[in-house]
Amino acid sequence: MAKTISIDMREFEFDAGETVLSVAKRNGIFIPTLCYHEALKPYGACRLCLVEVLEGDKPGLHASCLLSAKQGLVVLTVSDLVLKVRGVLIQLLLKRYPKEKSLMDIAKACGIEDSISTLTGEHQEKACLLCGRCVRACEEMGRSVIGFVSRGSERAVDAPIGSHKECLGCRACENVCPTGVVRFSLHDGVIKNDLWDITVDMAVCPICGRSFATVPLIDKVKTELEALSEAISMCPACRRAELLKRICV
Amino acid sequence: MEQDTISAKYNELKEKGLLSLYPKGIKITVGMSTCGIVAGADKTYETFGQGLSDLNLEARLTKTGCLGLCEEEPLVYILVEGKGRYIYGRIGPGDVYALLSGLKNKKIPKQNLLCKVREDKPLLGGAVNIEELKQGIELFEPPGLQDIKALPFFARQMKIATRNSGLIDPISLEEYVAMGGYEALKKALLMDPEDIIETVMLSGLRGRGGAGFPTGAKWHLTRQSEGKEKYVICNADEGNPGAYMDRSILEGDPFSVLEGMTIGGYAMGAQKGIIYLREEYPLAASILNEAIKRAMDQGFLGEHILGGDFSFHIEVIKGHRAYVCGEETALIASIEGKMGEPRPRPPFPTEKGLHGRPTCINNVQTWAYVPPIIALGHEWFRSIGTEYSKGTKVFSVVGDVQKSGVVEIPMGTPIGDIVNGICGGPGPWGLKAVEMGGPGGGFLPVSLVNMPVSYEGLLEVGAALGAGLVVLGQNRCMVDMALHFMEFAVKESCGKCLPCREGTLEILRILRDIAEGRGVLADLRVLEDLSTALKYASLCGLGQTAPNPIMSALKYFKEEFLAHISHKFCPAGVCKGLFRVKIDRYNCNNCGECMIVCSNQAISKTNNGYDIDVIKCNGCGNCIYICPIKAIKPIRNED
Amino acid sequence: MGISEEIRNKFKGLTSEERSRPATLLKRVQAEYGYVPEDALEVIAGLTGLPLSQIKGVATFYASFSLRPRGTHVIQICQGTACHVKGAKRLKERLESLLNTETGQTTEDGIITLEEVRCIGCCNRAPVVVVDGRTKGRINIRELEPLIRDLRD
Ligand SMILES: Cc1cc2nc3c(=O)[nH]c(=O)nc-3n(C[C@H](O)[C@H](O)[C@H](O)COP(=O)(O)O)c2cc1C
Ligand code: FES
Ligand code: FES
Repeated sequence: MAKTISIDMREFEFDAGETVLSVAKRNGIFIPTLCYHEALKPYGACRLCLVEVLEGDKPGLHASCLLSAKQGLVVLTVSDLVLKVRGVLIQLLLKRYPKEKSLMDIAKACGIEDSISTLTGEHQEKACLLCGRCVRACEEMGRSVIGFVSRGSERAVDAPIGSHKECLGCRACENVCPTGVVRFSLHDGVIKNDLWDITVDMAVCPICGRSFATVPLIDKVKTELEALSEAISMCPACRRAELLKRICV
Repeated sequence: MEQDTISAKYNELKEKGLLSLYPKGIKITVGMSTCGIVAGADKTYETFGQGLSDLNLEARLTKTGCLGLCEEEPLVYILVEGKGRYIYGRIGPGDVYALLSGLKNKKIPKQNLLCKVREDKPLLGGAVNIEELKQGIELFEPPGLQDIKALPFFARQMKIATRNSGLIDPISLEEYVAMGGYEALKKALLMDPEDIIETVMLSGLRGRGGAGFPTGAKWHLTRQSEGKEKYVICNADEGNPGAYMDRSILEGDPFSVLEGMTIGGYAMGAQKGIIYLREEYPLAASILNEAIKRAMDQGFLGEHILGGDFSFHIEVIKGHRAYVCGEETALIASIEGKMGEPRPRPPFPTEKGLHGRPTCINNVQTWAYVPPIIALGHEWFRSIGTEYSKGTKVFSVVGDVQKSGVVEIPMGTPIGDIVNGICGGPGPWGLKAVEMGGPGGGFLPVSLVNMPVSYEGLLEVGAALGAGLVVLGQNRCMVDMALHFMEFAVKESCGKCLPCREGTLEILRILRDIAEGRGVLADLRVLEDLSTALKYASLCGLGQTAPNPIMSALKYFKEEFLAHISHKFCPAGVCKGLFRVKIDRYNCNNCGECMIVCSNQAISKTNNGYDIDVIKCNGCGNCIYICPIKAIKPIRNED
Repeated sequence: MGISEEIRNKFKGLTSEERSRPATLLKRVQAEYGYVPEDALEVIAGLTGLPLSQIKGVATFYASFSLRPRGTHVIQICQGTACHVKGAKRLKERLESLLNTETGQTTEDGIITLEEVRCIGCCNRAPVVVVDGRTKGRINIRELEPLIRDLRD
């Protein structure tokens, strides 16, 4: 018999190693998230994804992005306590970043409308919500060019100047940013990130003259390829897989 | 090593230890823990050295740790062969020569003499009757001397974790062994590791770091976890502000912690121990390092302990000033060279801890209880305390209390007994509350102050066991205290999780509003909502417990909050601007202190006493605070 | 000799274990210079093989390290609970006004840095200040002015 958990009084099957958040998402149950991203290891810092465990190892509120599904687990995504706590958390964020569009989307999705309606239209600014997705993307896929600095309310994401030269320009950070405050833009011959003042040279195609990737990325692929001379003997599909495996360490 | 060889080694050490503990003639010992030194003990010690040679008096001069009677520091102990040990309080350099010339004239000087010790009863060894010891020297002793056991400060204490502090030279391995030290390790190494864990489990010992997790169970989990390499860690981060009992133990009896960790290492199959020590304790660091070195020299640490198969090393690693690093996972991150950010659990450190290996973290006191439990058995330990809280508990007691210091009492002792009985009560202002548990604890109002010390009881009333006791007199403002703890939380939050980072800041903003007279009644509801969110949503214990002081203050002292909000009045005269001051001319003794501390020169001397210029007064309250006879009172601004 | 070279030299004599610990190296630098110069971060990243971002994170996270130069003298005022109860906030405010600076800052003449610590474990001597590493207990608000005068001389 397949193993199941109960979410909001409905039974769902789950795969080994799956989290409650993932089971919920797969079945169309809404749980707000901020620091979570499919491509990254779960972090458990924004706490928006809290659900209430009624039956399980430890009853109480738990971050669903970290909570492993286990046979017999019973959770509620909309208990009174969850709604109350979630509401406070979103209000706290809104208070700090009143004009952040992505936040308003989350608030709306959670049915928290007050103080939002007045803040529509063009005035939206992009803000860093300290979800840490970019930092983790850089750590997991890039070269840890960026990191958190300071503590408490002074916490921020920072790229020390000395580390700029390490940046691959892979743009994973941009890709995972929920608000769009992390952005690279193409200038002549370089991509630039204004937030951290990082510039990465673009490579130019010797044939058509088009900029198509950053120089460090191409260099990285080149070194990997060299180490992969045996890959010449592989079929294209396996070669690609092997190559990817090596690049993404 | 054969058991015979080991016994011979112990006997030799013991003999040496006894000889230096109870030498011939006179021995002068100065309490040289940090609190002693800050009170001037280092100068006292130096002066004794000088004085002995100046007066040509023969005596041994030694150092010891903290006896707990910190109020009377610098403490000096004069042991006279065959007479007893005399304890003197507040001996500054200026008192040294008088003391010495008294001795020179064959008299026990009476000045500053607190009490006499006739007999030492080491917990783990036989009793030593000092009066009957050896020959004795002919000295005149003032009649009617109080015995140490008769002093209220010591009468109700039961010393287990602090058994050697203030008695032995902290870095003398010989004296430690003479007091029955390392007997437990010898015994443990002959036991099956599982049996050691069983003993600890049956003893009922629970962690003294705050959460009160059963120590035996934690050891069991660590032992069971897969992995050849394991760690044991002593949490000596003692971050709770206003608490220093862990420091007192580390500085006064480092070997007890080392022995406890070594036994733990053997029982759990760990090869390495780490003492994570807060940087603010440099003296403890040097004492620990010296003790480690000596233990290694004598084969109690390092490779092949006592000649057997078990090898174990201990290293002291210093913290870098972050309260959150007392939390287990943050502590581990800090040792690993990262920012001290907690991570979600599971996995628990017992399974995946330092460098991903099974790790058992226990508090300083918890480790110090291990040797006596192994030596005397679990039943002895179980027999002390309450149903769910076994053994004793060490507290530092500070704040508005007559005799601040470090005390060790059986679990179940009423808190009021500690404050009033042992520590002499709160002094002239009278008691308002006792703060227990630090930034994650709460306040006990006078009505609850007689509740017994226990994990279960304190949890129920919103306080906790992990920190010391801070006694608050009637002249302290509870809004200000709540504000103080929230400022602490804001400054010490790591900032990783949203509720703690943003929530503490918002609570602080509201409390500031209330303390500065901008509060509205609705704030109290918001405070409650925020507190709920922090409690349930925060990633680690810091955020989860940060609202406790506020909730506790609101629960027991709501009227004070209401006075601040509705009447813009701080009844205690603490919150600036929320009161005026009035000098009670009738009681004023014209000392003039208030005029000196006034921050805006609003107080002047007139013919009929001191006068406050209402216009100039900025309501800082310095004068209320300084007045030695409570002749200056806060009154409402409009009165 | 460049500052990086100079810093590297300060690490000579450390064991390989100590060299692998960023905080140990940061502490050494802080002890030598009274603060952690920006260049030290890169040197330490190089030595430990850890990302510079992590070194900067550690250097900014812990209160032990200061990335800004500090004054010739450092006054640390304890704001722990015992000291708070004994009026440490008043002392802090008095110091701020006497030094005309905020806590965490250095006076304009660069002589005195005012910092706060949150309990140094001498709570029974509250309120305490630490002046250039020496702890003074039971400080009276009136002692602050002479204390500063002494430091300035
Ligand atoms: C924010 C925070 C700070 C803590 N600080 C300390 C501390 O300074 N000393 C300590 O022993 N435990 C501290 N703890 C508790 C530890 O996390 C842990 O529970 C304890 O060291 C376990 O040892 P025990 O079982 O012997 O109590 C702290 C916990 C939190 C959440
Ligand atoms: S999404 Fe789970 S904690 Fe952020
Ligand atoms: S509170 Fe200041 S030394 Fe402990």
